[in-house]
Amino acid sequence: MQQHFRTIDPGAGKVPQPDELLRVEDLRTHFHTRHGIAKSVDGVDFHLSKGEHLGLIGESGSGKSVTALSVMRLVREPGRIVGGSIHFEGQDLLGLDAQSMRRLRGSRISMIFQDPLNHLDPVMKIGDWISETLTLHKGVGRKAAYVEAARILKVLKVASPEDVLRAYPFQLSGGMCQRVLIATAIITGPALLIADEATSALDVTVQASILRNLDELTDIFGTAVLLTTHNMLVVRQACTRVMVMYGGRIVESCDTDVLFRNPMHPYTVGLLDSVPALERIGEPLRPMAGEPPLPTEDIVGCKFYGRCPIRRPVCQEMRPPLAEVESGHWSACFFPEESRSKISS
Amino acid sequence: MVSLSPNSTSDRSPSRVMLALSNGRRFAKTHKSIVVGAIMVGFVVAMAALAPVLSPYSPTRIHPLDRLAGVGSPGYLLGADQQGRDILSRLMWGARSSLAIAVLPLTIAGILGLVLGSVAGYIGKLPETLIMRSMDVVFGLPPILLAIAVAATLGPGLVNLVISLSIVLLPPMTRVTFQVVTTLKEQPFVDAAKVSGATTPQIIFDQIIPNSLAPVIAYGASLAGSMVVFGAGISFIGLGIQPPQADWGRMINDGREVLDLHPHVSTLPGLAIFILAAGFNFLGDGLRDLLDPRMRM
Amino acid sequence: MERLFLSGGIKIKNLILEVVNLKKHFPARGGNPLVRSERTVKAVDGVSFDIREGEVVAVVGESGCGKSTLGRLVIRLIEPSSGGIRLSNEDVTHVQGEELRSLRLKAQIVFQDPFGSLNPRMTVGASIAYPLQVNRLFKRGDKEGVEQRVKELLERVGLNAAHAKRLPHELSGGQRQRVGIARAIAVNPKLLVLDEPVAALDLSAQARVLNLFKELQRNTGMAYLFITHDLSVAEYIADRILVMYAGKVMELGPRGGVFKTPWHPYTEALLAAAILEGPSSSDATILDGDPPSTIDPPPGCRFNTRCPHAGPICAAEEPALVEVQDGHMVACHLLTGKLQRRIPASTRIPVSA
Repeated sequence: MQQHFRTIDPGAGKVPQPDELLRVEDLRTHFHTRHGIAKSVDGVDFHLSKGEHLGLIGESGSGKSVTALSVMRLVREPGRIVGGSIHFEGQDLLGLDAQSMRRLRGSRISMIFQDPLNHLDPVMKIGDWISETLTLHKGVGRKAAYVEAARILKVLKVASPEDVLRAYPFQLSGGMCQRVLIATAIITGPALLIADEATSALDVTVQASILRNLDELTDIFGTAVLLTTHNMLVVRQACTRVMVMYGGRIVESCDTDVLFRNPMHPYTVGLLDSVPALERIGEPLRPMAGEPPLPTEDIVGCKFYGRCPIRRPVCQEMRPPLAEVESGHWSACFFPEESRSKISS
Repeated sequence: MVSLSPNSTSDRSPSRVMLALSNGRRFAKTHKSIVVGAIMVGFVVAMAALAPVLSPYSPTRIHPLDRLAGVGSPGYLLGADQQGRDILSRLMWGARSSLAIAVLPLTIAGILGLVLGSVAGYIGKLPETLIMRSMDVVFGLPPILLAIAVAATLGPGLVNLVISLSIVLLPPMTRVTFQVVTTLKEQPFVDAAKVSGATTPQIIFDQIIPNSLAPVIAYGASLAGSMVVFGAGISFIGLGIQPPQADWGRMINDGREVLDLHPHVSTLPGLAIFILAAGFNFLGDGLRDLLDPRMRM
Repeated sequence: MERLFLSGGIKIKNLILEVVNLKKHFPARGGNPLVRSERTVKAVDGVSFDIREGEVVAVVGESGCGKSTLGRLVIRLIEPSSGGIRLSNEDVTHVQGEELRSLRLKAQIVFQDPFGSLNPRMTVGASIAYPLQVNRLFKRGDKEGVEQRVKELLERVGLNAAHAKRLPHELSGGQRQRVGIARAIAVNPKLLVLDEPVAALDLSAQARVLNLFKELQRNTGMAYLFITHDLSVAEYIADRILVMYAGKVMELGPRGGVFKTPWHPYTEALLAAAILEGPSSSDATILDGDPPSTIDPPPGCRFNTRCPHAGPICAAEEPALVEVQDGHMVACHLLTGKLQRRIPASTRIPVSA
């Protein structure tokens, strides 16, 4: 019985693919809190190809942001990566010393966050801010860096880049600050851009425009994107492949359009049924019952067990591995076929 | 957090006690300064409370033959002053006035400041201008000089000392309340109370004051230490507690003349002042950390 | 004064709320503190609409469009600069004191922030009982009556009597928001202003609270003014939609009309942004730039700086809100024939059965 459910890395075998950029295996990031050990990331496997746009969707507390921070090795105390491996461009990130990791950040891997204003220097002009990164990592002169910065802002549909480069952060809107951060993140031509809820604080129209321009920009630089969000819409707009995260584990992974058409995990089904969507006018919402488990709870089996409408005893006893149900479609459920048919009708 | 809920006495199973104990231990570990401060202040409070029972002599009784007895001399654990009064007894009784000086003005100024600061902060406009600007005037004067001036005008004695220290404390207490309230009144729950139909006094007393209490108390506790020192200083120069009543500041003054040969007469009350003042400071710091929302988990 | 209202101040039977040409201007902060600033923020700048008994009107728009200010004006947390508000056929535009307090028995509000909107030191029961007490809805000392009512309210919002003794920090976000709802409906209001009531909640909690709103509305017949930035939420809950942009109404109409045949380019863009299909879908309706500042907004149509169809007239003249279909009003020069439409409306929601 048990050997049927082998935990396999979704999308690829154990042999590294030629275009593979990032491979995360059995990643575990724990937080030692007063209430016990919070397993925020509890055994996560995934890989990312060069230039690919991968979405990581989950509700608050699902561990998506901690996963993103773990790849950057920016997890703060009391959090610690306690297990697994992260391979980026062939080298093991967890084995790197702090110095090499620092050099990698900003040049090969960049990150953008939800609150852009907190990540800009309030007393530094935007132009100096952007060009400093380029000067630091690539040794480009200030003038050339300014020209490059203006060119990138132009792609991001900034009407007058020169004015923006001369401004201070407080003079810009939230959307503009986020564009500036994106420009800073991408100007060095990184192989991977991690966007952690980067558009969540923005208005829908601004979000749509930034996502589209980000798409253009990453095409130019050949940058892969790992995008964490709680918003279905964002994944739809920006990602070709998506992973659904729940309780620190990946519960489903497939192409984005497949996820919306044919979800194979009861949590994904519940999530989709919880969100009012303009394409499904007239359909009632069927919210999931209950709350997600606390990250400190010790759960052997499936983390969704307590809320699952199709649960069986086996789900409580054994952790369902992420297994390939159809070609390229992975689900961590013992009964993936039942998820869709039984729940949503 | 440490205490058991009142109705749990009947079903106090061992595990519950253990839980409370382990909670207490964890509390002590994460909030060291509160525990240290509480022990120091608690020690002084116990001394003051038990003075009638534990003190070997009356604090004013003169033993002419035992003048300036040293520390540890028979019958006088901490020695005697130049009139032959037992220093231990005087320290224990003196703790009462020191505590009164630390706590009473703070309570008076705290309550007044809470009301004035809440009114000024919540209503704004004219009340704010009147209250806060007049506080600024008082605040502009050096506190120790103000206290001395008021004490000198009113005359010596514990009651007048308490009044003068209350006046000194009122501006900082009002100002800290004002600051807390100006951020509090922007909270949605205050809007919610407004929409519920509450009147302005109802909002101030039901919503604003209960929520500003904790930070104001924490701030007050951090001032208690300096009040002990202030009170002692004023008594030292003869404007506070009057002899022969026992008071730490007075005792330091008494020992001044014999400081070279019999330093214990002055230094022991000095040490007592230090313990109480430091205790209050630890307590205040600890409370501030405890009530800081960023420290909460 | 009375003539201000469309109803002419006459009692109209099932009219709950009537808002006419409502404006709220704030003096602009910032800039040089030494130079007295003459600039004003026109947060709400001439908004008119009404709500009938049992109707749900959703106000949608992006941050800074004035939708929250509109909600706070209606509930009279702030006073309008000009214009009029009538609640149940009474002019409440400038009422104060007792009159204002009695307004609060008719209209209530649920706030966005489930953490900040409950007094952290009051139990859930005390928070819900508070409006009952300050309004003296129960006799003094009638503790049992109040308790009974609190229990009833808790059950109505999907909680139970045991929650009354809890403190807010012991509850989840969704539960807290339910407490906020229970407090708001405690006085049996006729109108509930809901200011982004699900925006701060997790997806599954959001769905449950939305369903609760639907159920409450069905059972009590309350009218809602539902303020949201999320079009799909508005679609799910509302009978009519009011689209705001930079303090102005762009479009106002029945849900079906606004979502299936949007007339205003801004509504089209909002819909397009909320329904994009994939990375490479049509670019035509994605807006560039940011919403304009409401400090000294652009002359003419507020949307002209981002509008894909804008012509010279749009920057010069402000379009009036005109009725294009039964009950469907739009403020756009495209419709009054002053401007030729160059691009046909490209995004229409596929009409699903």
